[in-house]
Amino acid sequence: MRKIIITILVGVFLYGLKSNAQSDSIHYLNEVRLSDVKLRDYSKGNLVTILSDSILKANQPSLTELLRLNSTIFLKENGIGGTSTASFRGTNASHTAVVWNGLNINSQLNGQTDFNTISVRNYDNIAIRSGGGGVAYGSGAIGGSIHLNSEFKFKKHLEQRLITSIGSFRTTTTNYKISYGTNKLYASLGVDYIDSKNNHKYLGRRAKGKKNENGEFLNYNLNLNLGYLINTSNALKFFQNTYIGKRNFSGSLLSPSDDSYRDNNTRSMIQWNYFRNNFTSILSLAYLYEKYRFFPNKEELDNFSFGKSSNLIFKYDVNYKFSNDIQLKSIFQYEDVRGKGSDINAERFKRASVALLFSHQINKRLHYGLNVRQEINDSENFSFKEFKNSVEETYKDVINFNATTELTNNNPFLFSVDVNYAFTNFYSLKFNASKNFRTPTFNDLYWNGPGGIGNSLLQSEKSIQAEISNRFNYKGIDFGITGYFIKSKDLIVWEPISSTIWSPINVTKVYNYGFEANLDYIYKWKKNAINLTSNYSYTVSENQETKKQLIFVPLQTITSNLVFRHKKMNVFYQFRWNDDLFVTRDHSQKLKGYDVSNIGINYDLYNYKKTTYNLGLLANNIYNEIYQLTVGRPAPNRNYQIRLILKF
Amino acid sequence: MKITRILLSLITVTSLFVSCQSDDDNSLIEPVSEERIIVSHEGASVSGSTSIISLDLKTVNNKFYDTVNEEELGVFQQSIGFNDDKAYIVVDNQNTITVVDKVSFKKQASITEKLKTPRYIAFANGKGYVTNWGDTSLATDDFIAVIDLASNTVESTIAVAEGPEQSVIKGNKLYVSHKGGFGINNRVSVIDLSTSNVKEIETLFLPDEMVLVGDDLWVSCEGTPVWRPEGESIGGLIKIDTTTDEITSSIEFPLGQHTSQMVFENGNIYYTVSNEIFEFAITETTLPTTAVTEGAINGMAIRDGIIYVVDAKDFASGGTLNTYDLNEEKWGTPVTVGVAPAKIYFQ
Repeated sequence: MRKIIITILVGVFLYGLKSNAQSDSIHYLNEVRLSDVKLRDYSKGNLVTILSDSILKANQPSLTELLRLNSTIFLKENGIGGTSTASFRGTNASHTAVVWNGLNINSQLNGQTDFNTISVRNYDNIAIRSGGGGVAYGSGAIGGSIHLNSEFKFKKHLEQRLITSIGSFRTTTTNYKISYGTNKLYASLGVDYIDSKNNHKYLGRRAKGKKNENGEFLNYNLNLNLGYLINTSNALKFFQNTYIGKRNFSGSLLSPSDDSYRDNNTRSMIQWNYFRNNFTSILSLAYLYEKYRFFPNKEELDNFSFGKSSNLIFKYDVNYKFSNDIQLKSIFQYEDVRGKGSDINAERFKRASVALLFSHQINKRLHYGLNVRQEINDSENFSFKEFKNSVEETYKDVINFNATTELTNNNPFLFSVDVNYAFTNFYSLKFNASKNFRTPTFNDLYWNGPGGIGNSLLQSEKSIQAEISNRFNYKGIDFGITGYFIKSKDLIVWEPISSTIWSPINVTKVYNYGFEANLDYIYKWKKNAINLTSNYSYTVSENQETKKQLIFVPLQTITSNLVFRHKKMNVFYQFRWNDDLFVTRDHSQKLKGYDVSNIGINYDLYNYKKTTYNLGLLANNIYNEIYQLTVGRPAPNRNYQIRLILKF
Repeated sequence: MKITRILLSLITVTSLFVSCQSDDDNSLIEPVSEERIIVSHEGASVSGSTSIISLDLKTVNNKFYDTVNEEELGVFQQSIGFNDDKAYIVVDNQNTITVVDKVSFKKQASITEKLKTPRYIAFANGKGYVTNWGDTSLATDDFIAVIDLASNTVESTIAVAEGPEQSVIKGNKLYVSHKGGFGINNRVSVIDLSTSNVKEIETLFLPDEMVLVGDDLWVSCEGTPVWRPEGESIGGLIKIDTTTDEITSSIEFPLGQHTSQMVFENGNIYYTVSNEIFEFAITETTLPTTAVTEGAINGMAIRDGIIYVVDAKDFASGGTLNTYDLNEEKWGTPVTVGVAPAKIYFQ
């Protein structure tokens, strides 16, 4: 029945329109201003999807939910609100770089970003950049990268926005954002708060009416941006983001839980921008800090394990425009990384990189880019080396730590080339090829805790890839088909080296290939508008030893968002379907594929000049689809939300 | 407008895909009546499970309990105890023991109250004795749960030292090895079942497997592994005289060698160190230096001169069960079982 509804809903709207097509549709995504030059000018051969502020505020506040419904990225979420990682084009969790105002913020401890710790409403836009981005964004930009951007507006304004919602499972969210500017100054502050009891029902016969237990979470997110335009060629900018999370990790059908997790991340950056004629330079000093504490029993708060890391970053970007068509950018970056934890030896390493990016618009139709980067690593881990030597001596018959290692190879040289050719006004072709990498993390290198020993001789994972994208743009329709191939080697895998000890080695080789189709359609008439965005992906991610699809990579995925606006009202329908998920590497067990639909209506109660009061009613999982997020974690049943957005 | 048709077909095709999902068809196979092997799997990112396999490894029924009862027991399925016509499946994270018919594995009852991280069950006098780690982050709340097998309820508990693991009944006494749970420990408790009095015998660190040979209880002690903050310690094989409850011999491994599995047959102990199996005649006083054979081993059992071994592989794929014939000195052909196989029983 619901399949029919979905088909009819989408079909009727579109067929009803076909005779009325007009050319006045405005592609509202184009209105988004991007300040990241690397995304704007040096990624022309890559697919960049920008989720504007209007999408961010209409969606749920977690990055997990935003990407799940607006991209074909697969999010592996350990229960709603629990830790959540991304698989972009079938790559693993540390192969999606999360980039905060130009800085890679993936954890130094595990190389991943927990997508439930990012509050989307505090950013002005979020960009999804498909494909390799190692040259510009560093370690982990293999499947793609997610860019969290704050934009500075140096013009007179004062804007305030409050979003507040209340919903099922005792979930409340609040976001307040104030932005003030003159032609010299800019200041914005965002405060985000999510609180949920998260005690949803477990659907399905096997769940026997159980509820999600121990799933409460409480997240705060604070975002501050300050800017000062000193004169026509100098500006100072300050960026700050703080996340504080207090979460219990829900139990599952496999295992109950009474644990708790508290983590916080802070990111601060001060920037001096200098721009004169064709020369631009940005000097950045940043400090990233992360800390987690895990409590196996939430009643006993003096018993926990922890990990923390800090990263002090110095970055200098220089951009020179030789002409309107040719520009060159260099990036020098130096990082001083420290980490320690209850199960990680306290260590410190420094690394640096130099990158050169070249962008050339040959004529109206043809653009190409050439980019290179050299990494320079230096690890200072003397204390650990002694420890390691003793381990190696003890286990020398079992482990061959050196088997895969050539230390000299640990400073990868990266490159990328990209071409964008517009054949006609409505058809263009993008091509890019790149070499990317992922550095081993603190856990990989220095773990010294239950069941495992890190391997300080690990080298970086390496990946080579290419993609071709066909773009069609015609009367409000933006359609693209992209094919890609990613070949990754030396992937780090923790393997049992004895019955009690696991250790990471550079061993796995994976090929990812597939294609993606994207559609964005806008049509406006009188006081009505319709907007459909759809994504389809076919993803093969194959371990070259077993020739099997990796676990938690669905072969096919579809997401669709349909919005219909009429005067003060808009109605939307969101849809995601993904294929079966293998959950064991030998494919002996899998989770069935599922489709989830959400629906909602928003209405402007009051709208005068800058002031709007908008009321929204939302229903998620409207068909009560029974599915599991990971093994033994049934997803929430149908749930509702009332939302108020005030702008003044 | 062709694009709308493409889209429409895309979404319609989805509908077809979605409606064509087929369930895994685990066909129900009748349990065999002759002697068979039962493999208990701990599970990991998937549920623990039970496989039933014919002695010649030719017939394999994986996920047997799940198929019969249409439910999964969760993680970690630690062990199975057998008593009369019943089997008791112990799942530690779930704090449950599921009572099933020994042959059909049809669920009869489940014990869910007053257990906390249960590990192993032993039987005597119409009662079950279950070792419990308690809260794994607390060293002081570990206990033995005494189960009334008639009502399947915990009737009392006996407090013991941290990390009670395996247990053996001898006469009216229960011997419990204290591997230490998430910590480390170095003792065997001797519990008088009439009085519930507990006596402790100090051993090497991480005592785990035990076999009773006449009046002698052999205990394998793993020794503290190198990654523990307490520092590495030596392991060994210890012999306790159950008439006096004193240690009568202690044979130590060199530092760096940590034993894991231990079984006994025909006067010989077979134990593993790393991936090697050694044979040790209990009349000897020194340990063998050369191994009988080697292979990845996550669980081991012995029957009629054949060693049965499970390999858990990467703990994210099906493991295997294989045999090693001690007389012919050769390995059989492995068969695939469930995820993270750990214990092998004969029935």
